[in-house]
Amino acid sequence: MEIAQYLLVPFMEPMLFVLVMLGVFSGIYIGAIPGLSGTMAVSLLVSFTFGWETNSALALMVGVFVGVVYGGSRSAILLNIPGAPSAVATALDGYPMAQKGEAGEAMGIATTQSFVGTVFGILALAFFAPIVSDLALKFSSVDYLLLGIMGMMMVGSLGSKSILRGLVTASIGVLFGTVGMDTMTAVPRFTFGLTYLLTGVNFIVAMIGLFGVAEALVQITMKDVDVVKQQIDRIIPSFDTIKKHLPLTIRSSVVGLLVGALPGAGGDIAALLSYDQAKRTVKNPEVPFGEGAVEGLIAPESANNAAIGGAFIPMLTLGIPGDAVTAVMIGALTIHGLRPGPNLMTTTPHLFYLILSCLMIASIGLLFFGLTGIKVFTKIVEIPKGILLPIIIILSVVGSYSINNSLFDIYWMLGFGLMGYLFKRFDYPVAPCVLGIILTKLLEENFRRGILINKTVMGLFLSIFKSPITIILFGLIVIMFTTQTQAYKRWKEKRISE
Amino acid sequence: MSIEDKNILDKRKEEIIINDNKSINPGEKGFSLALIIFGLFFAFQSFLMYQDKPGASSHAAVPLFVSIMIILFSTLNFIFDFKKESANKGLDTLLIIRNTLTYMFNKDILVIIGMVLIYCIGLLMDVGFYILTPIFLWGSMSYLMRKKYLYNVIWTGLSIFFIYIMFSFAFNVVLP
Repeated sequence: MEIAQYLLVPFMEPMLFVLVMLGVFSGIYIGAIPGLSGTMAVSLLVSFTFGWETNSALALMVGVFVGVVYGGSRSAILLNIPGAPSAVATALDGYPMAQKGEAGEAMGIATTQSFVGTVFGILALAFFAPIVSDLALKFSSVDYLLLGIMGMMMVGSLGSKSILRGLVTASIGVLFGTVGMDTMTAVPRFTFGLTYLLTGVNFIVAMIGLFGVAEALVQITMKDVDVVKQQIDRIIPSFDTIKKHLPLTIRSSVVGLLVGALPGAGGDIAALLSYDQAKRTVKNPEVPFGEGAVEGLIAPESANNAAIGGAFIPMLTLGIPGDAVTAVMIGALTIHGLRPGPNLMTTTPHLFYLILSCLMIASIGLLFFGLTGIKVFTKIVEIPKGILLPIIIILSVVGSYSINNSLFDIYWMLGFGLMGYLFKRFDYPVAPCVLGIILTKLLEENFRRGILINKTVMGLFLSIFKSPITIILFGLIVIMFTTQTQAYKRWKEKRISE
Repeated sequence: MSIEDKNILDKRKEEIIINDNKSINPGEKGFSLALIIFGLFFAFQSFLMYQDKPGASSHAAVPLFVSIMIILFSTLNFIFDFKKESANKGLDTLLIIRNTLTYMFNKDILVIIGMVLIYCIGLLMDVGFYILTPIFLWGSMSYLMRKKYLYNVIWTGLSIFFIYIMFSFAFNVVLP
């Protein structure tokens, strides 16, 4: 009875309801603009809500968080610039759909799947918070390393002409990820005496350059191609479509939830991993992956939103942030005199249930605002390329500058843009490069930590067989690797032909 | 480019379209070679770091490993590409270079990259975001749209207004 009372608070107080909705609405538009990240938006909110009542501040922040994660898909689908890192995988099939005139349908699917993913995350947060957080805490450095390797296995899914090309760009991405001061020994690497490089390559800068500017430059070579008229008569996906892809939605949401619950691994890694699992498990997609497959949109959008609920699990139950936004939210709660952690649910249970209800309202808001603004958004793609491409370049410039207020970030972004353009021109995929930059920290730190604990590389390898979680992860990697080999593909083709 | 050369080039392009998996773009082998050189440079730099602190847990271990991977994969790529037909096949060296450069950077790309560079130099010289951006936007729009000058003024104005409202006004983001 008490729980029901707590859950109903935001519904009974119209102001809280309005704040969540306002947060979702602004979050969608913040997320859609490259350079305006969820972390930045929530940090800004902390600065002007610290004088507010805790419930109101939390309601607004939760709304913005949900809106931003979803909003990133908008620019990913329409412009091939992921508005947020968690929308990198969305661009892979969402943008090809928009190029075929299916931007409305793509955004409709992204909206409904984000809604389903968010609801899944909330339910898991409500029912399995202690179990999931226990599981997440049992992850050792070797497990994180294996998780990073699993992420790198995606290269095969992101490759274009051949897996080799994907491996080249992924390796370049990892190399760029190592630039800067080493986090364990503080030794500068590849900085060539430049102070700016000590903090390393910002992966958002790289992402904006490799996806946004590179695509704008490629589009310039095709500027005389007629603008594709977008079909906006079919926005809400049919019930049959949702039902048909429900198993994939659930699988992706589970991946999103578990990865989101791991400290330090947020919606971006969750979305990439679930895109990979979709590519491996969906047998005969109507359209191939990378060319506008609906499944390639469903998986990352369900996963990155399910990761929201996942990220709240360690935050609320253990006081450990699941991702950057929840880290800022821990700070916000501390400002309000609260201490997130094991005691939060016993000392202030109303807050736990308030967050749950706010997340639920936010998911409804996401569905409402997501589906109503699509017609206006699709018009962006119909703007003539000669007008749109310079605007994309300027937005990329402003977006990359706004991260650290540094002109160097603009030059790096343009450098990445030029590199991405050359990659695209010579049929090298750019996504593995971004994947490499994102995963370097996870891979390198845990590899070296594992080596320090187990003394040798062999010791690190043998430690895999000491824990059930590690064995399962290792088994998954072996399966993923095997299914990518030519021998397996030939065997599979032979079996099908027989 | 002579008519004969042009005919050879057109024929190659047709062949590439017909048999895409067995052919490569102009300059693709050269690009693989450039990536090998890139890998070699970073492998050398990593090796120098590795000598300071050898071992698998060294700060240079991962950079050294990935640079070797870049060399290895790019070399394999180069070998596989070598067997494939290039659009440059049968052309003399000068024409190969010209053809490759044209494929990499056509006139429009060069003009836009030039404009972006001028824009960046302007930012570095503190000319001011609200002066440079409208000039860049209008200039590049007018170049890409071929005229339509007044129409581009409207789009430039709208873009600047949007940037001001979203970044400066709503979020207090400091602009370059």
